[in-house]
Amino acid sequence: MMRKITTLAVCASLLLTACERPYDIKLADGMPQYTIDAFVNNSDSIQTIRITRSITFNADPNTIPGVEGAQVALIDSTDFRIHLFNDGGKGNYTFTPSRSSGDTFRVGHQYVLAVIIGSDTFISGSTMNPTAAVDSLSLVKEEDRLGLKAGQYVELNAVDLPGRGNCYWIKTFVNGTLRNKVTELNLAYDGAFSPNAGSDGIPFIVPIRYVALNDFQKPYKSGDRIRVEIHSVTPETLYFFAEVQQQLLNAGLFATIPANVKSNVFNLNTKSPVKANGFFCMSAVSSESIVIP
Amino acid sequence: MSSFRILLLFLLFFSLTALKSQNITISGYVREASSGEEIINAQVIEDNSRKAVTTNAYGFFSLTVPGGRINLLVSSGGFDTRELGFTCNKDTTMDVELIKSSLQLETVTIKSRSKQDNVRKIDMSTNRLSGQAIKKIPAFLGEVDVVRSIQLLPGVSTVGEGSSGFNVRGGSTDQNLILLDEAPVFNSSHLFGFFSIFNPDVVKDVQLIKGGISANYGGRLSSVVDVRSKDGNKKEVQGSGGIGTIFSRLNVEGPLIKNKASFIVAARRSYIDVLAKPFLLNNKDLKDSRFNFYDLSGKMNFTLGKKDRLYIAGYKGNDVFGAGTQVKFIWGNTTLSTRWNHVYSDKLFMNLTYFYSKYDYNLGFGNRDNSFDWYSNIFNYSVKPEFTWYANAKNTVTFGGQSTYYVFRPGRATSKQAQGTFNFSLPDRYAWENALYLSNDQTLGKRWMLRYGIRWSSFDYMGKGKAYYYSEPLFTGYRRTFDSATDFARNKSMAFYQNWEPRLAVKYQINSQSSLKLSYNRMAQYLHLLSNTAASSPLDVWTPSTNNIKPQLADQIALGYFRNFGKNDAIEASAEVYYKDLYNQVDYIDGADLLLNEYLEGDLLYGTGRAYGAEFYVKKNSGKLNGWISYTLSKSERRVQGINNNDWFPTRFDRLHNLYVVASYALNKKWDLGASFVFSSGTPATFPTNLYQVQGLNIPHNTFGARNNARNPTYNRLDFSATMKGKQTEKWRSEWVFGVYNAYSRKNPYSVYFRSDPNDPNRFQGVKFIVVGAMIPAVSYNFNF
Repeated sequence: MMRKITTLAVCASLLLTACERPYDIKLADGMPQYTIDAFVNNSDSIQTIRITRSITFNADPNTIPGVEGAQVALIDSTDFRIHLFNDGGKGNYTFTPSRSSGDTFRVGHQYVLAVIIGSDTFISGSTMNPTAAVDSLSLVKEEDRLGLKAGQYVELNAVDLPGRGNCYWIKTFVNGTLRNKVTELNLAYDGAFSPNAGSDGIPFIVPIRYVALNDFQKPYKSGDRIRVEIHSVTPETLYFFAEVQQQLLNAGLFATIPANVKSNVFNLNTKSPVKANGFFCMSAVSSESIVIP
Repeated sequence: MSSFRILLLFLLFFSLTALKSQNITISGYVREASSGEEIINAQVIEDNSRKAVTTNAYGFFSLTVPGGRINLLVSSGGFDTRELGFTCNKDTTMDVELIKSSLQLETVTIKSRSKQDNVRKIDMSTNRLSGQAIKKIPAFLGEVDVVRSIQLLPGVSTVGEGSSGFNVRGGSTDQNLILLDEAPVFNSSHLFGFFSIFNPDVVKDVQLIKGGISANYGGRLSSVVDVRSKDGNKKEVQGSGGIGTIFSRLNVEGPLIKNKASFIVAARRSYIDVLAKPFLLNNKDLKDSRFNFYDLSGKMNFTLGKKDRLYIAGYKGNDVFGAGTQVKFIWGNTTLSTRWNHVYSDKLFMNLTYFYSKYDYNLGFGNRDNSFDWYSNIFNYSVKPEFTWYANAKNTVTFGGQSTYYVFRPGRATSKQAQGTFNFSLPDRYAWENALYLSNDQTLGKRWMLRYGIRWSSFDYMGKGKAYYYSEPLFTGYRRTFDSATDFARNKSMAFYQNWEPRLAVKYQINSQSSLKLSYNRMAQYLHLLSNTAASSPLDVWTPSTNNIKPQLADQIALGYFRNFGKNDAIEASAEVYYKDLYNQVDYIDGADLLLNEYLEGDLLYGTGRAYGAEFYVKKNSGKLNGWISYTLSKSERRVQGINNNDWFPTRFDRLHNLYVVASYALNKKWDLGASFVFSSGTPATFPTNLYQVQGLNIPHNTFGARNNARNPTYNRLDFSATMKGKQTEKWRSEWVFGVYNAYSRKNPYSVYFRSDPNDPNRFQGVKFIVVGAMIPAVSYNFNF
């Protein structure tokens, strides 16, 4: 949040002659690398791990190719279960949880991700931490005021779990579509933005429980179905998203030096030049929906 | 036998006394006749013996010459040379007053130092600018500026408009020791580097030393900027000021006790927010923006008897920047210093300085109900005794020391929300820095001059506080995670460092018009400015060396050839090459978090640097057309384990070609014209090569893991100025200054980055960020009374 506001401050330029201009530049091409996008949760829906290759920077992201023929498994190292993922084609590897057979992911267990692509094996680890329950979603009716259009908005009522270090990713779905822009990423550490706040066991703070769930220029319409999910994540996941935001929102006078976002997925052969990007995180999910009257 | 002995003794005695009476010492002060202001670096030559000395920072000189017929020539740039002939056989003190050269008012001279200084003196890698010289350089927005003038000298560069520091010979912005009347300054600029904190009306002398730094200076690796302000007219009240498009200034000086005590008070205030208000009224986010800064300085000095002088000075400066009501930055410097000069004998001069300085910054955002405020300060308390012993005709010995106590307050934050107010703060840090030095300037025969010295410095990082320990990461270049901390009681040492810093300079005089100089210096630096941004900003964190962060060190050698041409040394020229090795350079992991981070040491990496280059400088000092051309070819790079695959990479401020041309032309009695042209190679940048997708987000990536793998476009700019003399009477002199900055409106990019293409949010677009993209005209009115 601090970075967003600093950027805003800087863009409000002092001299009125500062500006940005498009710059066509030919960039050097790099070798494509694997990306392992493994966010897996304990809901009943089909879980997908996506494996792709990176493309050159100027290319169309819609052309990102999937990697087929990999072997993907999640190993529960707490009770030694192996959950195999099926190659669904186009880089999608799926797993269908089944309560009846007990083939599900459990809160509190530690998981190891193993991906074998050709002669390379990539591994990662994540614990599935408990998540905060969504107590309820409330409707908020707002009047017109500075920066806000009158209408109906949604607020999340939830309380951070006791104990320091609980991290969450709060997802808001509007009629089934996730609010997914980088500026809409909603992350919490013990109910606030970072460990520096020293908070614990508090209701999620206003910017997280309310501001991030809505677009204040576009109030929700009657009949809209809003679903809010609270995913528990590991603290490393929070750092990962912070780095992503840093790289995607890096602009202005105080732009930081661009840097690669770090991954927690590693090639078992640490000396191999073949590396993977992406991230692995196990989440427990709680959710609630509301329909706008 | 006995009578022979008596004769021998008599002869011995006679020869001894004769020997003793051979040399006499002439000492005293050189002052401006009209104001009594002491003149720094004035040249005092005894013509018969060809012995010369220059006045020190307090206008004092001491010259030991053979007794008998004395012919003194006292000169300084901009003043009529004074010739004094007399007979003298014993030690004498005398004060010499120089009259401002009347030619000065008609022909514009940028020459500001005694002639032949560059060839005769042992100093190399040094540039000197007087207050007068600075005023002749075309200015930004009509305001002349000390630091912007320094940026036109060889070996000096910046990363662009908006950067609040400058780089000297491949050194980062925190490696410049900037002194204002002996007190160091942490942030020498206002407004993101567009203007410095030095009020040009009050500046008497500025010296930039890039190499061959003598032993009395220490604490920063790459340069010394020694700024001396005026003491105040001891004879009559006078003042000057100006009204400009950006700010206005006024200074008044005068005697407190005629010829014995004087004062000077100067103030400057900007009001660009007032001027911009009508343009911002329609923008609801920005309409309550505040942007202003002010400087206030005051100085008093007293002559107490023949041997003592006392100076008391204070400075306060502040910058306020607020975008709308939502965000505000406030930062400022406060200094208070007391200096006492004591002349022990005609050969021993001492200056004792006490100073206090406070640097603070505040960042706040939000509104009344929901806000976040962060305060940070650095306090310094210091005492600095310095002695100069003019031992004999061939040796001048300087010695002294400095002791400084630091208190760092890295962050006190208050977060106000509906839930309540949270206060949290980072622990304070304390440190004690000490130094002792001894140096001698020695003349050997007619051609050689030697300066050799040693400085011993130490730094004690003390409690009360915590020493943090971190565990080694999985791979170098990843964050070191916090492992444990140990508490230390007040004044208990957490880390102690000491360094010996030898300094050497040699000059060989080839003939009266040319010389060859060589220098070596080792410098130690115990404070570090941590900045992860492309520009230095007021949020950059100053940190002491700790149990984890070691002091930085540098070794520099330089070799130069100095030559004057033409009648009366009208043209000065020099060519210098330098090579610098830097150690323990602080760098950051990719994605470092430096703001309000108690564990920021875990995000730091250390490496070595090297910088080398060649500087060429030609300066014309007389006639209607004056100016200089400076060309620097330079390279500055670093190697850090964990960055750029452990290979050498260019630093953020590495610029290969730097060409500066400054000219001023005295058109006629009424008009002076000025121009300056700057051309610099582009600064390095880090560009991505690939793109990948995680959870629907498109993330840029550099497959090579490189840093600074690309270059921003080059920088070039032309400025003009024209000064028209207005009313010129006894009581009131005025002038109008018209200027244009960036005359051909070049959109010099400050940096290049990538963001979502507004037409297709899925794609990225390269963007040049430009700070000054247009031609900026300005007018100001200056007056003297």
